[in-house]
Amino acid sequence: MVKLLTLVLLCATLLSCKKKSENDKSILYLTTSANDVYAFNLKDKKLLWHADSFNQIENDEVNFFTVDDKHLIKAYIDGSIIQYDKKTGNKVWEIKDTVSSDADLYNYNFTDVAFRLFYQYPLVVNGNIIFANSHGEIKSINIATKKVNWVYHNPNIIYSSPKVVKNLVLVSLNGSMIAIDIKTGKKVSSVNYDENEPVTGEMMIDGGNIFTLSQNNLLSYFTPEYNSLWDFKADITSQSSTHNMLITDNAVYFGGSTLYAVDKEKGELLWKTELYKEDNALLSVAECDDGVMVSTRKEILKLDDEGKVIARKKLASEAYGILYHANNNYYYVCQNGVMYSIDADLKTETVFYKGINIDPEHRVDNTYMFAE
Amino acid sequence: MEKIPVKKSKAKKVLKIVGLFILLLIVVAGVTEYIYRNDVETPLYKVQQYLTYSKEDWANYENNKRLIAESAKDTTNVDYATAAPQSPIDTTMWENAIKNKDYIPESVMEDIINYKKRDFSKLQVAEEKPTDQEAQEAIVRNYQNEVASLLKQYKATIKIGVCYTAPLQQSEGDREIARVTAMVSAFNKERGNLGNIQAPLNVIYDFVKYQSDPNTWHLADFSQSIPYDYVLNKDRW
Repeated sequence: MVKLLTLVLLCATLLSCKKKSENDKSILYLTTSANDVYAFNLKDKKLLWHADSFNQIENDEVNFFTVDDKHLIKAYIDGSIIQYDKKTGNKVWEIKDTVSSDADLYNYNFTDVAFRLFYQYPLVVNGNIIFANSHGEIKSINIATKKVNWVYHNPNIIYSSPKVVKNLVLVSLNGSMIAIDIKTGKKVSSVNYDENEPVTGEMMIDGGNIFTLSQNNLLSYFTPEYNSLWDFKADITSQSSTHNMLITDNAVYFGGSTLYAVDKEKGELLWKTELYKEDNALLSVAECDDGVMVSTRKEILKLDDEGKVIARKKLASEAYGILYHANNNYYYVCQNGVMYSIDADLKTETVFYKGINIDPEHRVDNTYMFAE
Repeated sequence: MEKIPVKKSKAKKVLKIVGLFILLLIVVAGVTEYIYRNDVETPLYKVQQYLTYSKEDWANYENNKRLIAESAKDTTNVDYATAAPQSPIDTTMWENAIKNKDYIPESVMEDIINYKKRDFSKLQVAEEKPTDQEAQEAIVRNYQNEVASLLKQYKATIKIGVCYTAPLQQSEGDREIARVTAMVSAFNKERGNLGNIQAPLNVIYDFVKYQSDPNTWHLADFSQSIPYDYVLNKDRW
């Protein structure tokens, strides 16, 4: 009996530790379509540092960032990649990606294509940054030396960030996916997507396997060796994208005006729920206990595990970008330049920070956040 | 008077032994004919089958035997090996050595003899073929940085020699619409013909056009033997 009690206490202690660590995020990093970078203290809502945007004519779409032990490394659409000290926001390191010197040998036709970095993080792997640009180049650059490790040239504009699975860099091209050896930059394999289901968005990696979502709403789940695990075709076309897709332990959530929940193991529809009819847009899906939290431009909705809307919060100002879950709260930015947080019951909305730079000229409303 | 039983019992014994021997022969013949089939199906295995198999097992076993026998007769799926194409050889390099009866490595001599036996009479010079620029792009796009850096380092460009029409290959993906085999060589201003410089650049390739991208030549392994291109390689460095 004593042993049993000890075991129960031990388990309770371990669980409480886990809960604490999950709720123990202290800093939230944010970037927007204007490409300013902010670091906030989550507890006292104070701005820790802010890196101003620059070259706003070109940097008019959101680009992402990667956070490691000491730095935040952000990509900009004009080709800049900047490493910030994540405590101070001071610029530590910078490069400007340009067309590779040997591009003329490949002679792919990018005459009418502006040189851009679309939706890059960049990836940081073993001291190297890995990213892709609109001129079909996938690159690995050593951070310490700034030396280019390798460049792989493609004829296609690349619209999404590479992903790494084991020793492979996987990149979605127009109509195909390529796997490159992460050390040598040599092509290992490639596969063509179905002609009727082009994939240009970011692929998602989960448990070492890959999710892609075609422009015609075919959700595919396959291994890095291109063995299909399952496909699910959504019957209602909408503006779905992997940017607003959520993968949990048991399900995948994606969609637009209709949100689909698909069983992750079997690829079968669990439920689908119409979120809105018109003049709105699905922005983001975030995890919550026993269901999902969904943000659209006009409201935030809480759905239970059967897809039923159990709570909703109309927004005073239209939302902009993602809904980010940290420490039992959900964070989002609105078009009025205010960042809000709201509790999991959608009852208490508070102003988190006023004065987020919202560039009205940007092309796509989006944000990217990460907390640790 | 006493009988002599020994003789009678001896005859009986002989008869018994002969009878047993004949019986044994019949059993062995029966086992060989009806039980022993091959190395896998030993008599003991066969006995075990008889003792343990149900009716369904037997039906399944007989069906499998029939299928195996049928597949053995079916020769439609047999793949016949074809001789691998050989790289062209510059035999002029060895002509003087042959004339002077100098030492030539056995493997080289064998290659020269085999090369001279090759029949190039059915080869057709291709009308649709890549330009030097197109050949270089196909090579660079295939090898990427390995060859791009080599060409940059040597300030070299690729030239392509005589192109011979090659049979189109069938594969699951894109359909081929043109295929040629040709020798290539790297050239620069300082040294002229550099050959392949170094691996992975080779001196012979196939160049292929696909239906989905009919204006672009793609690189492939060479699929047929062609003569050594002495015009392309006339001033080898």
